[in-house]
Amino acid sequence: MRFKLPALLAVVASLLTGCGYNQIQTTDEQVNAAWSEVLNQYKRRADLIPNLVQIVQGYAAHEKDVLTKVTEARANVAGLKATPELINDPQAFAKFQAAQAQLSGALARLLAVAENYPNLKADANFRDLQAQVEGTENRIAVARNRYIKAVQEYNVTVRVFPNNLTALLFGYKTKANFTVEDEKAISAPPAIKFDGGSKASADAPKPAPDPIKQGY
Amino acid sequence: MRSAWRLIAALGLILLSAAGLAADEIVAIPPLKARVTDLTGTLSRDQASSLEADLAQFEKARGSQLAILLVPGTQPETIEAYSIRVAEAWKLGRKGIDDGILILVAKNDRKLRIEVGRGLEGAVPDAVAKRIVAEVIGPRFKEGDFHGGLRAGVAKLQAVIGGEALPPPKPAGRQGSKTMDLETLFIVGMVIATLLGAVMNRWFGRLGGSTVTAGVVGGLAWLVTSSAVAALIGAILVFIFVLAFASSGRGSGWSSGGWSSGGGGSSDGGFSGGGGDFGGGGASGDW
Repeated sequence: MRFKLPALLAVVASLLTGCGYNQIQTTDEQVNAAWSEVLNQYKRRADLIPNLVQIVQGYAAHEKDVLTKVTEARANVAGLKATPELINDPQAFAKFQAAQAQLSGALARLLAVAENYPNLKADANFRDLQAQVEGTENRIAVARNRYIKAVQEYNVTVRVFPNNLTALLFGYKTKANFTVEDEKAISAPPAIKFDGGSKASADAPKPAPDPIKQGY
Repeated sequence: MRSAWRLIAALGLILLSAAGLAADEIVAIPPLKARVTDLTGTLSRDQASSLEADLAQFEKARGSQLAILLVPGTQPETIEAYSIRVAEAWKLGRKGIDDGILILVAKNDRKLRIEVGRGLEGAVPDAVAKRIVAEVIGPRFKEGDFHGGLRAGVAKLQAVIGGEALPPPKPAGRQGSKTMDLETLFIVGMVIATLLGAVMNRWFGRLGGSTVTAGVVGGLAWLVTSSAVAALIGAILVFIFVLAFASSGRGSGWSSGGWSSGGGGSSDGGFSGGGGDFGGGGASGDW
């Protein structure tokens, strides 16, 4: 009798939290944070590319094909709006992913080609940049993994029983996630074919005068 | 007799190899017990303990947690994937400052990685980590000098971190937070109030009991928080609480059931991570 009021309060509170609204809010925010980190690391990679291209051009200017591919892919990525809202639009999300994957491939190719130029490899600036690019690729992988986990948790939260009613009421939908193919493509080293010749012969130590500006 | 033993040994071997086949999953993360964890038996006891002492000394002076892990291999995962898993599990570095570093050696893969906590990515950018891997540790590993390589690498890392302005380490002694948060305080206060209120109400009647209880709890709150305002608010709350919900008749209606103190990280003299976060920064290399 005497402790009825607190008990009643506790029951009401548990009913309120039991509908899952708070849980949806929490996991939704976690997804947003994880996605911001992914975008952040992609941005970081895009920022590194002009310098990298410039240095490689200085030593291996005639590797036009590889260089333009990287610049094009970067311009492509820069052309897409990388907004936080992207995760709620599966189509735009897939497009964004494809563009980033293309850039990953082009970049890996560029770094692989660079292996053929001893002078380039000995350049301290290039080595530092290479370490930064590698580190950033790893950060991207980590951020993507964390995003995958966050979305998983969110999607489960939105789908399980009492929560799905709440989600319906407030218009929360499941979010787009990275597909397994994406992950495979990223973790597997890119296949590179060399046609031989035309390399290591012309190590021009002077950097090219005009860096690529397309991306801006 | 002997053949029986042989049979048992053979059976054991079969079981072991079956387990080995079943376990071509990912490599497990060893528990964090010390700053230097050598699963390969590469370092001698003296070498490991001297590294350990060095790292402990550095943590005492600067607060940053460095740890070394030597494993036979990380296959089928890449060293980067394994490394971030270990870093996430061990949580090296202080919480919020994220100043932990993991040096991971996969001996049979001939690969090594320096995993840098988020808070140290400024002091140890990827390029610096790469140089330490390739120019400081790598060459010594190539000569088979693992202890020397790790020593030199740790010294270099410590020198680099030394230039970074980090918050000073906590004074030695208690690891956990010594101030109770408001929530805990409130709960403890309410429990005391309930128990005390029941007794006091029996002795002094409802109004008197509530007043005495409020006074006692308020006084305790003053002692703990050293804030008169908090004590006053607490006392008023307790007064209302006891007056409203406790009776003068039969008081102690609540059995003091399940209220256990949540023991926070008793680290039995070992070593544990401080809750630092890693974002995948650092560099890998081979030798």
